[in-house]
Amino acid sequence: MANPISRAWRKLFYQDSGSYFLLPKVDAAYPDPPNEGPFGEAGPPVWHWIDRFTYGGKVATPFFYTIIGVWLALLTLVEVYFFTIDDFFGSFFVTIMLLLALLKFVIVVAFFMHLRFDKNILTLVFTAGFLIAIFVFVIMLSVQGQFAPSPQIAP
Amino acid sequence: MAQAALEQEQHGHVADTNTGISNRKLLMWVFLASDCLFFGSFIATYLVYRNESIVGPFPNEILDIPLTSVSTFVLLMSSLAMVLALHYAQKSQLGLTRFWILAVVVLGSVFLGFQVYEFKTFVNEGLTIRSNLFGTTFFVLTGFHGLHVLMGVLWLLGMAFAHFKGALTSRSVEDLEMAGLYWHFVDIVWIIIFTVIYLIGFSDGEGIETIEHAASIIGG
Amino acid sequence: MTTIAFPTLISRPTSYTGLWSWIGTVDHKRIGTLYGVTAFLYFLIGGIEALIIRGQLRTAENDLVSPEVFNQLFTMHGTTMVFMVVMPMSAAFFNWMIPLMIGARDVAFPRLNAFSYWAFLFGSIFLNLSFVFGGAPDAGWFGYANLTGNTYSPGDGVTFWALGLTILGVASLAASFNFVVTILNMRAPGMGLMKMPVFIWMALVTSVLMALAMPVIAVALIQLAMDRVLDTNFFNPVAGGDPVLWQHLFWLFGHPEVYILILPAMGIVSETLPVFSKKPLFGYPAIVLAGAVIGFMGWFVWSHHMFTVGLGPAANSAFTISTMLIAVPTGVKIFNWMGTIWGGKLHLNTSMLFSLGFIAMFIIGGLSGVTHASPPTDAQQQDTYYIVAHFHYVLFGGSILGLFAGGYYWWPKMTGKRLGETFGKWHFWTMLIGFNLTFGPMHWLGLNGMPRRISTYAEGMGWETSNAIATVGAMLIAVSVLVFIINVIRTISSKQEAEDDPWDGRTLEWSIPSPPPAYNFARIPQVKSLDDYWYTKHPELLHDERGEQAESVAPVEEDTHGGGSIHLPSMSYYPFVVAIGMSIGVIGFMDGQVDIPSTELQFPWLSAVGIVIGMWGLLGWIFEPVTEEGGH
Repeated sequence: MANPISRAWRKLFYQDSGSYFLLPKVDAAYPDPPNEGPFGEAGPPVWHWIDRFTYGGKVATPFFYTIIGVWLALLTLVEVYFFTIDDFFGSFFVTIMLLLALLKFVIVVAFFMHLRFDKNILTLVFTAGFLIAIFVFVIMLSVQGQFAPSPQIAP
Repeated sequence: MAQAALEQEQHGHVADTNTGISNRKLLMWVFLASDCLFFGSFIATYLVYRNESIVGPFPNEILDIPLTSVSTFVLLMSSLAMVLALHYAQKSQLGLTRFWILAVVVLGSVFLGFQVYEFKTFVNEGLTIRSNLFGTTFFVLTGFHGLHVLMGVLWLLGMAFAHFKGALTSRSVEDLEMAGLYWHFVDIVWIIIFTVIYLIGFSDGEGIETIEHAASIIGG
Repeated sequence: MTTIAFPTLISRPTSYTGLWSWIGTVDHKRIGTLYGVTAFLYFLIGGIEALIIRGQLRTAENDLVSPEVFNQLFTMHGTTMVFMVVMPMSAAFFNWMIPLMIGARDVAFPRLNAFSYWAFLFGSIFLNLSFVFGGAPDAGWFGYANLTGNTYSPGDGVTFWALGLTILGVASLAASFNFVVTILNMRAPGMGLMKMPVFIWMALVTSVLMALAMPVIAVALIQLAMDRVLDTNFFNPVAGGDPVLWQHLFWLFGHPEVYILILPAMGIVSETLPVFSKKPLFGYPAIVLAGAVIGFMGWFVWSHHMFTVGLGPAANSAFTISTMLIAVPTGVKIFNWMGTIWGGKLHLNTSMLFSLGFIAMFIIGGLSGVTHASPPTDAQQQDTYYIVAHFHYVLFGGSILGLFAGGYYWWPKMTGKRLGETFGKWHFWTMLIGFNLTFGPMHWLGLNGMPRRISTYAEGMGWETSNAIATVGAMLIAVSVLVFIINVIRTISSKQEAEDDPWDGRTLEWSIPSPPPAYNFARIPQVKSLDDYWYTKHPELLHDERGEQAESVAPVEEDTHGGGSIHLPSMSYYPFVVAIGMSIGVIGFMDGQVDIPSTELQFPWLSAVGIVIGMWGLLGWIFEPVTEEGGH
């Protein structure tokens, strides 16, 4: 507060000076907003719901596993149905098929192979290896030109 | 933690290893990771050679989707039977365990039967392992998968009759869990093969680029 | 367990002496010795192949050997050195040291361990038998299609190669599973992952790489074998097959493979440098992370071996960037090693000399490697001797020197005697000078245009002098190996014994007698920190080096179930049987086909014999208990 420059600075910019040119203070005037996830407050409840739904208390009963089996059968039916109407999807057909296959894959691995209920390290190991395999083979296929548009026979 | 308590209730014990997972179970998971790469390489080979066969038969002429959908369904249900067998083994109900293991064996054998039938049909229609690229990649990929299923069936047959004589021990339940993991893996490989070769690959035909390229080599 | 009694033809081995005890051994130490001796013998064989190569190339237009024989020589030299020397020698150290360094009594699956060795032995013998049965493979150690197809490589050589490597691949795969489970599951209580020695971390990364990379080459080799034996179309251009696919599959394996070859040596050097500088390892977390990152990123660089194949500028650029990036973690490790030595009290014994030589030679090899990372420069260097210089600097100057460092470091632990220092230093210096004389000139030979894999060259190319120097260097290497052998023989026949802990070591293996008893640790140690044994010996250093206070020693775990004896896994010959059966089963694929009527197929009867033997072994293995009651 000693020199006139400091006094002038305080007069102009400080919060409690009542002046027009207010610089925000770093802590007291503007405390940090509560930390939200990317989906705001919707994130945790959704995650808890998924957690409860897949963990349930209904785990490990034959009924639970049969339900999973029914889901898998339904997904296969859906896949075959989509296959018969594939013109409807146009160029999204492959994507949808792969997504459905991935869904079945995750269901079998998570529930039938018990990964959901095992230690997280196993999930880590499996996912890491799987992702490396996917990346590596996708790179190889793109290098070999598999994702280029295929030539058509001239009419 | 709730997870650990649930585990305790389901598995009855946590192994006294650093990770808490028994040696054999971890071994099976590491083996499955390497088997992922094994099948991945064959699937990648198939995908590299899509639409590249010069002579027929081609997938769009020869693949039978309804038949293969049934065999896929059969294999999925065998996975369900497997997990039920493991459940009853963990509940120490020997009779039901053996029943469900045999169910897996039966369903797996039905799947193999479908595969054999399909292979024979294809050979009759002119698609052999040597005829063209589709034949080579298809038969080797599905052939190795079928071999894996066969080994699983034999393993489970052995388990049903030799391993579970007398009471269920925690070690034999662990062995069944290992067999279960293997069987489910074989199932998920089939899910991928079915989607890639049959559903997505159904519209593959002759290789146009390769025909022109080959013609220029052979002709010129 | 189970009440089935499987019929046994021969009773289970119980004695610990004699040939039968070696065939039935499941002790990781004995299996490590078997690996080490076998790998060293193949080192000599591969070295002789190299000497003949250098003899042929000594002058222009030489005719020491014919071009056909020359092709077989360089193929077998490469295959031998990569698959039958460096990998098994690393396996030898893994086998010996992993349980000792983590405080375990054996690996997780002792019989699987034995199976890995026997499969390696039979596979490698089969591969080398090709010399006798119609000619060794002659298409290079990387066997590019479709040179390796039936059209351009008629005869059995390449089939020997494909099938032999398949057997070796299975052996490595089994070993890798074993080590991953052992390291993850069987560490001493208190040894968290970030308290493990760096050698164990490198062993873990190497084993994970092996587990994931070996299946890819298995697939490639199966496809090649099918092309040759069954006339399939994988690499058959007439049917539309693409030879570049082979290159992708091979190098998808091949690049992680070179990290498999170098990481164990890096781990060894990370152990010897702190001990012989009397300083803790500089930047332990950084070295561990760098090793893991190298293992991970090594999957994304494989096409830098294919820059000249014509993949296109996009692919080439992507792989250039990833290749240059992977030099970064390697650099981190090198700087950390230098930080370890800096300011330390150096003991320049033979092991330390080899470790320092490793660092120096690996840097040189790495620098030439970075010059390959750029496609324009690689276009000039590819398939020239510049590449030969690069990979020999990293593989010989890197892996081999590192493995020798480990040999001299751990010899007293394994045998109870120290290798002679005088002979050791002669060994080191002759090897270093000879190695640099051999491979140094290859740098400018390559830049002057000398291609690889040529059996002779015209006069007047200007290459004669450098080639002559290289040949002299090769002979000096041979002399150095001879010095090593003499050193070993003198040590074996000497009566001079070493103490349990001759180097004042830092890690757990030095806390047990040399050589270790069958059960390794009388009591499983309770580990409190990194380099736990060092701080047990020197608790006053705990503050200076780690900034921690010495705690009161926790009571050590009793490991004897009230009876007193420690149960060790019993010996078993079934791994041997399964290995033989599997090898015969694979070999039978090659020949001796019997037509199956009314199908187009043939049945390899030799494979049937192999499968039967293998099944017998497998069933016996499954049904015998791990430890016999009343046994040792």
